[in-house]
Amino acid sequence: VTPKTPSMLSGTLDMLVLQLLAAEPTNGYDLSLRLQTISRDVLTVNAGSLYPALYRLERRGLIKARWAETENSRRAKVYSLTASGRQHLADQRETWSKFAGAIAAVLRTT
Amino acid sequence: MIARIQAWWRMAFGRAGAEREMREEMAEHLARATERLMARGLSREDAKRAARREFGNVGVIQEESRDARGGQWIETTIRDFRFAARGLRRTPVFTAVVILSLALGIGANTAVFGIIYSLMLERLPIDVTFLRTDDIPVLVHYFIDMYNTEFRKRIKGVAPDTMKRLQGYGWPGNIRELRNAIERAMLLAEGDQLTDADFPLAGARVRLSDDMQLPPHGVELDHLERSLVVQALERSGWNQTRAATLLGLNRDQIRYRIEKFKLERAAAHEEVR
Repeated sequence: VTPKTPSMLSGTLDMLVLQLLAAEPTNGYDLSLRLQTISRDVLTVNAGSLYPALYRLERRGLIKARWAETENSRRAKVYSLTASGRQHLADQRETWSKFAGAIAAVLRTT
Repeated sequence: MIARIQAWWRMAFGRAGAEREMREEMAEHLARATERLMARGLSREDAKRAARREFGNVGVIQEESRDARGGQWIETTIRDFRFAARGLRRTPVFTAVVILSLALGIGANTAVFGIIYSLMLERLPIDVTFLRTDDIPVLVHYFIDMYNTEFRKRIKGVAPDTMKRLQGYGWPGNIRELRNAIERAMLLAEGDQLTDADFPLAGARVRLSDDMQLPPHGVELDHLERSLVVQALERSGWNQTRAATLLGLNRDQIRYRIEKFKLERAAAHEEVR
């Protein structure tokens, strides 16, 4: 594991978590692995920020959790998106693409 | 919405459960991380240590997670109360002294306020002096000026009817009651004149006839009657019929009163018929 983490913009983690959970409900551990894999090891999310983020999202009613058995018969807390979480994600994505587009446009200017 | 309510419900009542779940979840995370590292060939001990290192400070993360989960204040408050109660129980003498002095303080305060209230705010049980009906307009205007300054208001005066009513009211609480009534009226007043609506106290009293008000100290009816009969006779030049008309009586009635009061026409009043 290479802990070469660019400092994340605030609020970005919430968006990424929502995005990944929208694709597939999963537990905290697998979520951290998936985040790392998909971002090609650029983003290393340590538990110190992942779990508080999950609880925060749960409190805001954007995700919900239930306990489920995993394949090797272990209990795991599986998170999934709620309806308002889905709505929130859509809003966030739109804001993000606008933001990213604006930054890119500025960087293109010579 | 429902998810939110559930989360809130858990937050408020499922503290212990939520705490247990959080620990279990994080233990699970560590266990799986350890397994993964062992699969890469690390020994169990090394893998455990590495997983912990990767995870971070468990205590700190749990603390942050609790904060994120919310509702900490409930737990914190309960803990504070327990702590306070324990501390008080440990020092019973100190606690007793504190409770006693609080009780005495509150008691003394209430007692003193009770006295002050009945002495200075409430009307006095004994009427020492009376406001003279004629003085009331003067006093009313004096107080209006005073409270105009104090409340930054521009009240011009009192409606004539209301002034009559104020004059007719006996003011058993004296000038203090009058001042309080004006103060209250000034605070309530919306226009630039004080009206009946601004004087709930005076308005609620039984009103005497509008043109003649009983003086606050009362009258001696007999004496008053005699005086009125004399005045009527003098005004009419001892013409009994006209004097009777002035008093709303007939001739027999005024004759009866002249006899009753033993009235005689004074020499000075003799006039040519």
